[in-house]
Amino acid sequence: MTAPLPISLDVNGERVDAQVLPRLNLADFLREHLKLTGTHVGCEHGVCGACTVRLNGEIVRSCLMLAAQAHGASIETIEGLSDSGEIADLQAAFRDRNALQCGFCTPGMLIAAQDLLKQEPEPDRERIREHLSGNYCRCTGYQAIIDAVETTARARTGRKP
Amino acid sequence: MTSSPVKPQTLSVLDRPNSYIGKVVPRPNLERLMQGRGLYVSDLELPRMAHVVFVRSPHAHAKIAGIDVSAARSMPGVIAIVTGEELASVITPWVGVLSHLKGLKSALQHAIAIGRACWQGEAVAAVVATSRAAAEDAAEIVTVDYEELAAVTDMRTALDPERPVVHASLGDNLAFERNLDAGAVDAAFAGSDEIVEADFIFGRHTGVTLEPRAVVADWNAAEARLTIY
Repeated sequence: MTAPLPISLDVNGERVDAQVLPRLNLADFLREHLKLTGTHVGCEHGVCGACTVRLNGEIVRSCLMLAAQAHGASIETIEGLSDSGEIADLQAAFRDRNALQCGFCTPGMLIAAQDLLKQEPEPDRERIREHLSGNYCRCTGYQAIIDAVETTARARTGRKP
Repeated sequence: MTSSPVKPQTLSVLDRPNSYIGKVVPRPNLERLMQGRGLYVSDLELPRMAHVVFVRSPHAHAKIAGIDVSAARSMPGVIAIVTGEELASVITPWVGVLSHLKGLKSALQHAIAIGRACWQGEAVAAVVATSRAAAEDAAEIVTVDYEELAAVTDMRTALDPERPVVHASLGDNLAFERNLDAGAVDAAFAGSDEIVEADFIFGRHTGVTLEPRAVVADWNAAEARLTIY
C-alpha cells in the first residue's frame, strides 16, 4: 500500500484536501505540504513534545500520527492558535518572563500549557510541571516557563499574579 | 476614583536614554518564535535542495571490507552515494586537538570512515537524494561488509596491555592526561580520622539541542558564493 491516499481535513479553520503517501506522518504533512513550520520535529518518536498540535480539541504528538489518520479531523497548530488570539495572554506572559531562548520547544510548550489551563483553571506549580513533563526545553530551563503559565492561570481567574 | 500622590521621580545615571543597565530588555524576535513563525534550518527549502542520510556503523570497531551501493544507486530520487575514499579527495581530515589542552592527541578524522569504523554510529556512506524519505529508503539497502574487530569500550581498562590500540598512529589509547597535584595527599590520608571511598562514573556531557543539528548549504556558481545556513 504505497499509492497516495486522498484526505480531507480542517486545519486552523480552513478545509484542506490533499493526496498523501500512507507513510507520511502528520508533522511532516503540516510542515512540508502545508508549510506550517511552527510545528517542530525534534526527536521524531514522541518524547520531546515539539510537534504537539491539537486534534479535535485534544493535544497529540503529530510525529506519532499518520497524516492519513487525520482524515476528517480538525487540526489546530501554533499558527492557528496565534491568529485566533486564544493564547495571546499566555504568549505575552512567556515574553514578559523571557520563557524561551531558541524557541524550538515553545509552540509545543504553549499548546500543552493551554491544554492544561483549559482543563484546570487553577493548577499549582506541581500540576503545571506534570502537564508539561512531556515537553522538553534544552536551553531556557523550566522555571520561567512554569512562572509564565502560573501567571497566566492567575490572571485568567482574576487572582493576583 | 481616588488619587494618590505622585511620587517624585528621581532620575539617576541609569535612566539616561539608551541605558540598558538594570533594565529588562525585551527581545524583539520572541513574537515570531512564539507564533511558530521562526525560521530554523529544517524549515528552509531551497530550489533543487537535496537531502543527505548517512549509513552508520553498527559496530564499535570494524573493518569495512566492502560497500555495495549498486542497488541503492538505482533507487528513485537518488542523486549520489559517496564513501569515505571518494570524499577524502575533496575534504582534508580533521585533527581534533585543542590548543588549551596541550598534549591532547587525535588521529586523523575523515568526514566518512575509510576502511575502518572506530565507533558505533560512525558514518560509512552518505546517500544524497531528492527527499529525505528517498535518501532513507536508499540508505536501507546499502550493504556494508563488516569484519568486527576487538573494541575498547571501558575507560578504566583502555590502557591495559591486553586491550587493542584503536589508533596505531597514536601509540596507545591515552588521548589526554592532566594531573592535579596539590601536594601531600598521602600525608593527608594518613592523618585522617576516617577515609571514605567511592567510585564516581560520569557520562559524557555535551550539548544536545532540541533542534536537530543541521546545515543547509547553497553554492551559487555564478557569484562563487557559498551560503551556509
